[in-house]
Amino acid sequence: MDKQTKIFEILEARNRQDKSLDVSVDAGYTEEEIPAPSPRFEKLINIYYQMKNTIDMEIPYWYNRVWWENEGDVPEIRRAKAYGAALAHTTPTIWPGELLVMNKTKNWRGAFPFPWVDASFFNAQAEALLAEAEAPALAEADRMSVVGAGGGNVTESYGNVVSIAQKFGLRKEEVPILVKISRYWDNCSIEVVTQKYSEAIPDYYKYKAYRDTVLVMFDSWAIPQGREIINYYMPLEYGFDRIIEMCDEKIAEILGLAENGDGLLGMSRGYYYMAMKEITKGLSAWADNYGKRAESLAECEPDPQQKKEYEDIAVVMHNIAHKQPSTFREALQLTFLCHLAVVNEDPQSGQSIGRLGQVLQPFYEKDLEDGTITEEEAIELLELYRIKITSIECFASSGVTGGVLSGNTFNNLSLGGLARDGLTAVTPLEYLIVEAGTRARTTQPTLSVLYDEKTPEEFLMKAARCCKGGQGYPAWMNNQCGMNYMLRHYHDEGMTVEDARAWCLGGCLESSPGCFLPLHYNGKTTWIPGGAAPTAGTGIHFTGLPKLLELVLTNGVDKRTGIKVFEPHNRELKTMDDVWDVWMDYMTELCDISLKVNNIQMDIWRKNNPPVVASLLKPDCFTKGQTLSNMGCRYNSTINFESCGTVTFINAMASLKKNVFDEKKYTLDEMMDALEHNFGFKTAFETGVFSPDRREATDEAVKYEKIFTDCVNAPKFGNADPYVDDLMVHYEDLMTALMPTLKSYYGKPLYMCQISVSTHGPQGAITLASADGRLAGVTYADGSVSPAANTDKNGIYAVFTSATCYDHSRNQNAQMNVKIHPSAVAGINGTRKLLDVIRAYMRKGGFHVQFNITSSKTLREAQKKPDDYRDLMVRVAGFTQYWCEIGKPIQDEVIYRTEYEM
Amino acid sequence: MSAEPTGMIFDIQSYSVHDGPGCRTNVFFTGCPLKCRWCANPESWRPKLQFMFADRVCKWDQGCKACRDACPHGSIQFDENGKPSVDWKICNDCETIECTTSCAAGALKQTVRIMTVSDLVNTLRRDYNNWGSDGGVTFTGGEPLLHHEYLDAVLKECKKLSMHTAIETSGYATEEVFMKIFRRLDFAFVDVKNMDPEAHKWGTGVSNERILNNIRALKRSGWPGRLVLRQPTIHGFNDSDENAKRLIEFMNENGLYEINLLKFHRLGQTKWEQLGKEYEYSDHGDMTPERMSELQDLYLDNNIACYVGDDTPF
Amino acid sequence: MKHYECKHFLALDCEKGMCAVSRMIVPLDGEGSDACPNFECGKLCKFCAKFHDADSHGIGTCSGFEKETWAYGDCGAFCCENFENA
Repeated sequence: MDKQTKIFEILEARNRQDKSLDVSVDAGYTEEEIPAPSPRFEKLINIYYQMKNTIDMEIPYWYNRVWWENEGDVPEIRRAKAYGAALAHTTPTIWPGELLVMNKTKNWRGAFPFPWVDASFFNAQAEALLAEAEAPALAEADRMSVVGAGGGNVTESYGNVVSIAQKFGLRKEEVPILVKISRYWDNCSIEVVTQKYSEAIPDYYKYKAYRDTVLVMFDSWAIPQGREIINYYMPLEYGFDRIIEMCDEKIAEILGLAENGDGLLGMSRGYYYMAMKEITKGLSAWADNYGKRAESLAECEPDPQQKKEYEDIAVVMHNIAHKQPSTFREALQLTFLCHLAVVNEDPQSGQSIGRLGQVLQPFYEKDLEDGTITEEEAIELLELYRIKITSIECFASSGVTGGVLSGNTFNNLSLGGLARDGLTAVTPLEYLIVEAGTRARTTQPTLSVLYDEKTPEEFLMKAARCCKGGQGYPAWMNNQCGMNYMLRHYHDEGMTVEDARAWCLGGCLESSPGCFLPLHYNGKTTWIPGGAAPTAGTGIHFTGLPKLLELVLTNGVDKRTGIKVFEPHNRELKTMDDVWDVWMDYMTELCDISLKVNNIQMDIWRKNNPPVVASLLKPDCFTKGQTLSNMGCRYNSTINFESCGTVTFINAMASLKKNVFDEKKYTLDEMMDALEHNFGFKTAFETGVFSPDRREATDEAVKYEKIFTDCVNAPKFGNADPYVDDLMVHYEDLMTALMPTLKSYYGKPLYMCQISVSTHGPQGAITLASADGRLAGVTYADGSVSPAANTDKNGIYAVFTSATCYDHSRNQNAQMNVKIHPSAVAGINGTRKLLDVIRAYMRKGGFHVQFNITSSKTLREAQKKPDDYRDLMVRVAGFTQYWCEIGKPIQDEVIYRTEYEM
Repeated sequence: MSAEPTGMIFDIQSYSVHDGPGCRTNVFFTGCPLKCRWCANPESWRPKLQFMFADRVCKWDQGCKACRDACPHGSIQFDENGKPSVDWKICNDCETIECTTSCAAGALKQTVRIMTVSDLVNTLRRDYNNWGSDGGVTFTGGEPLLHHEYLDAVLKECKKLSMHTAIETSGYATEEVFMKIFRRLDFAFVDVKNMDPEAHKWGTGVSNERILNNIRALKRSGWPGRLVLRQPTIHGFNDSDENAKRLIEFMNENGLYEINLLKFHRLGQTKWEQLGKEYEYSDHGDMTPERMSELQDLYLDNNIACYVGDDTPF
Repeated sequence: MKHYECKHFLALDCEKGMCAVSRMIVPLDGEGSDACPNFECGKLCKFCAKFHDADSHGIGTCSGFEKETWAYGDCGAFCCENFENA
């Protein structure tokens, strides 16, 4: 008899006589072991680990060819033809052992450049690229890149491979093709056209200063789709053949007809359906091609089992090329096809899968009823799906890929929440999705639990158990908070309580609206959720709040570059109110000007490069006969203001308040002097360590040591100290009042999006020391409500109290990171206690919490020996990434974050 | 004006998961009547304002000398490399600890704060929102019973609010104090470090008589709470079969059936150094997992539920 | 002939692929990149009868469609509706 059984026997015997024993004695307290992933998964993931990020030119070639062959056509139809042809001609690759197939390109971790969006990068480097391509291949010894260093990233050129954007490898022989295609777009890429009109704004030079000083990071054109929830309803309900028929019916009915009072929209409908027909044909052909490839592979396959598998793939692909799926596997394959089709039509990240376990439940249920699938078979498919989603790469400009995304494309899968009827939405299939994510640990899809009091406890426990794997998912979102935000922000567009229940995460943390649509399958009607809006993460991009405060203190001049970012305010800052006033003046100007530029960027994108697959899938585009560009979606007020470094900013304000204004220990000039001199320390760039625990003194350190100590010891956010928390509330009040005054290119109000993604690294790098004692160049605090690393001295419950000092449903999101030592959550009791802590935060109205359950020790080891930790994952901003594929500044920051270890 | 009692608290830890049922807030009192030779929290022995010098986080190697003028008593000295040290002969009697405000690295750290009943209860009320249905507060230390007046006042407020209350105690107090505090407790860990009075005295500075008597009295009283005995298990001190058998006998006599053996660890060693004390258990006392398992079996065979380390059913 | 020109070649990334028959990972360049005796010609534009006049970069003309235009020889043609073996 094992010890635990014996212990429970003893306790049970005693329990009968002793009422004080309040433990439940009917279960063991050691958790069952997590089963290994399927051998099929193991085999394929081990190939994945060896894969290099690769771009190739097949899709750009065909897109470019057909686009120019259709010069003069209506933009959405021209787009549909070009993109449809590209999909229909790209080489379909199927690897032995796969059940679920399809890839972005012919390669495993493939992507491709979009010269029609951004050609200047390639054109500027055309000569250099060509020279590199002409150069003889390097010596044999250098030919293979170093495995493990940077994982799948191709950080430098070698042999016949040219590194693009320090991330992707491109074959030398394809360089001339890239250069040739890029030249077509020299004068008409989205980038160039938006640049032309942005520059016509009289204040454009100010926007340029924001960008040049990295006060604001990124342009919208670079990544115009994503941070939204896809919607798989159309093909799941109708199948592609029926969609084409419906297009024909609509064309017959309305082409050439305008509605009364038509401005443009009435006539647009006809072109819309023409375009939808073209793109649907392309999607269908793409699926058929995979079927044909599978047949061709089957022909030459000697192994009968593998031959059968190829044949099965062929059946699946040919069926979904035309009809409503007839099995769970077909339905999963079809959603994956749609997913790839959307992420291939624009550079994008954060195309969220949405609540897949609710969307596909009817298909799974039927297979179970028919006895054609077992739970284990479904889990295996879902494990393979994880590899597929993890393999989605994004080629955007270098800054976007490395800087914002840390290489992740944030294909977020949400679980839980409420169904249309207001009851829990959790389905049996969602348990299997969690199970697959627990067994088969990959970075994507990251999982997000929409926590609602109605969510079954056993589901929450299962998700909490998964969380303990240390891979950073699932993250936990507050369902009621998200719904409240939907009802608040989308009220004027007619948001209903039912639609509010369909919300989930677009991208890593961007709450995005959805709706339920009736799926007819298996003789019944199921209301399935899906996205109902365009991108909810494009707008005024990552604005460094601490940097803006620095500019208030420097009278508008960036000390690092000498650039005059704002007109000098020339005000003597005598009180905190003065600081707030000038800060808000600068903020308002920044928003006004950035907004105009962003609006032009997105407007040119939607006019010249209208999305076609997204316009087919998103409700209510097909019903209205309008593209997403023409506000075909049900909800359109999705454009945001993105902030970075909130807590660093609040802490700096708290230190100014305390040391300069309340206690008057130092004058503002003395403070500014200390900040400019980095408190007498070397900068992070000089030391190469971006973590706050490394500071190397210079000769001047003595002069500033007192002010430095006072700054470090000033009150910090996250300690349930109203002195600081009130500043956070004030900030939220000011900003939530500003947002509705800003109107997007859809004429709709903006809102606040408070996630840093990975920009807290680069934006911290360009910011001088700040009054909270953070040294120059050091990463900002991650998240928007989690304390700066090692500044929370009163424990996690105090952190939660500070974090919820304002109502999170006022904004799109609020980000909380918690690092927990694995020993604190061991065993079943540990799982329950992890759930307790999650629930504690949710009860307070916290919007989001995510956990890194890996010890700092392990992470430090992994930093030293990346080769031994190829599969180690951590949670960064709102997503999970392989440790070896993220940059050092972010690694340092993750290690330094406070760890709760009892 | 009657002064509100105050307590000397050296730490409050939230989300504590190994000190009673559910998620808890641990309140560490300073001051202890025992002086265990292996103690993991030696900073909690004396009930007074104290500080620690954590030279591991000191930034002297990065050129910091911010504490050079911080001690008015001249205790802080720098060696030829610029590394600071403190003179414990001076510091042990210091009541003012001015030095701690000079350090930005957290190396010179105040470890004790004085809290009123309402200070502490307000913190617990804040944390009450987070414990979940099983959790609560655990008073530990140091020795919480040393502050029984204050603790009783705090417990009274906790029970008004229906909080779940627990204690970790050496059990070393008068029976009156012991019983007074326990009537407001739902859960208790009481340490029985050695069954032999002499050995107990050698290891902890006091005999075990009072502790065992308190446990007997508690059980006699029909106290409705849950009592789990605890034993830090140290090789060469209390890991013999003989000691275990005597403890089993004691437990059987008193209707006790749960014990938690904690494998000796050396996590407190740096604190001894930081406090300027020599740590005697730096190279012995370790238990093998095999021996822990044997001891566990011994208890289980005698129908006592024995848990090792964090592996508990609560 | 190289592995990547073979019918049985499955692309993986910029430096390697997989042989569908042997299931081995095969390099694109250097040692081990030459095809084996089981080589069967794959479908690439450069193997198409309608592709001609390739320059030193492998860029030539495709006359397989209504409008003649440029194409590149290594482009995959598995899905091309007008591919003809040269």
